[in-house]
Amino acid sequence: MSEHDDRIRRLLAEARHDGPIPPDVARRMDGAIADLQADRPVRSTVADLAAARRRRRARGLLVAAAAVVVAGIGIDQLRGADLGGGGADGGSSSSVAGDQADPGAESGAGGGAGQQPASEPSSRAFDGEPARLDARSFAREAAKLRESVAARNQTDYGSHQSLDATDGLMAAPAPTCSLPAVGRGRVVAVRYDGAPGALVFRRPTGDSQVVDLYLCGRGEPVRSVTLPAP
Amino acid sequence: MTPQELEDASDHELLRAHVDGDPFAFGALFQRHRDRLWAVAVRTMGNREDAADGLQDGLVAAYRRAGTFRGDSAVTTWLHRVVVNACLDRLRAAKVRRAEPLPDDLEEYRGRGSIASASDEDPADRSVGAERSRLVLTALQQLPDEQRAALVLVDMEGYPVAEAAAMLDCAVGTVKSRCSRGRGRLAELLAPLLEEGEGEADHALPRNPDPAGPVESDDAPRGPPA
Repeated sequence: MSEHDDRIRRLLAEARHDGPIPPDVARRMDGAIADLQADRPVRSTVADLAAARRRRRARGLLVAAAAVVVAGIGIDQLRGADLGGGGADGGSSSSVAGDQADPGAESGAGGGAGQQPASEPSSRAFDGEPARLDARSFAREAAKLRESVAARNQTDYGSHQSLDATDGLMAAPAPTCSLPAVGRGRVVAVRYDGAPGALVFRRPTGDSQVVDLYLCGRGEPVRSVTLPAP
Repeated sequence: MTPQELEDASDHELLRAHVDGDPFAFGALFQRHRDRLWAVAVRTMGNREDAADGLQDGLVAAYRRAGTFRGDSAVTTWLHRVVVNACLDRLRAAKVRRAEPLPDDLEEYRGRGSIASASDEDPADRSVGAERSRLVLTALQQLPDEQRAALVLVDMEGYPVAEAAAMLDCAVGTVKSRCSRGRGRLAELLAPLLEEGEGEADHALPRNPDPAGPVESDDAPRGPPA
């Protein structure tokens, strides 16, 4: 191999792409997999997804007309323990976030007693610290968080029924931030790699459930994952 | 599979589970390898939009054709093959943005990755490195698609030639030939950079010239006496 070849190889190695897949591309790929699983046509561009989100958000804004305030949730079971620890000791009040009304969607499971009036903020404040998620194990931790929260509430988390407005609510701790309307789903405050935000657990479709991650100050979900339906 | 089982399963087990109808196995498999697949796609396609299209094409193809995987190679090799072929198909079909001067991720990823990863690196060195990579990537986009794909896999991603050949679905000799021709073309395109590097090397390692050898006669050697 010539000296030039060696030099070219070094230059190419230096120019390799080392960063992770960008969040918007990862979201698009997650969406494609979800489409394939649901046997739907696969959406082809990020722009399509963004447009769909904008439409969904606009529908929500017509009625919701208010920003969603997300605050920490009381997951004291999770504090000091692994996220998926299961929280078997039950005990205190539940710690799940609420649903957000989406007039464009069918009402889920009869609407539930806790369905919020559309003009009210649609997430709730909870005591305790938000669950901490690590980007490297996002899917696993999201699944464990769902299990922990469901166990705590003694509810079928996938049923998409609203919780009573007072269920598990305590004084709102920091961090608090505003999110745009995030569509229908259960909102659970989290810290993602240290950044405050919220997971939105969508209504399960068939055997799967999409979970979107929103970060404070960002109008679009920064990450999504499809989990087995609970 | 439960989330824990998905995490613990091997690549082969995940692909098998997907073929057998597990709705989450493919997602778990793809998530494991997507960063590296993305790296190959973005360097092969030259810009992130086309790379995302190519990666998605590959993802869909892999999802649907998983049953054709024979198990005679690593799953990751097969995934790379599907994604690279999807990218090349797109390039062949559209000849997209061959003149696009730059992959746009250099700016996007400023501050991380190989170009500018070390926080204690001198900013001037980092800037020089970024500029050098920009020139290299610009030149890379001028190569024929197959040569570029071979160089991305072998010289950028560091795959052995045999594995790259499996990914590209061609003979080992073909990969070697494509790499060789590609490097030769890059050497022409990057001649100023290479000369600069040689200059730096000379500057970095000053030394005396080699001692002159014995003086040779310009006369033609004499033959034996007639």
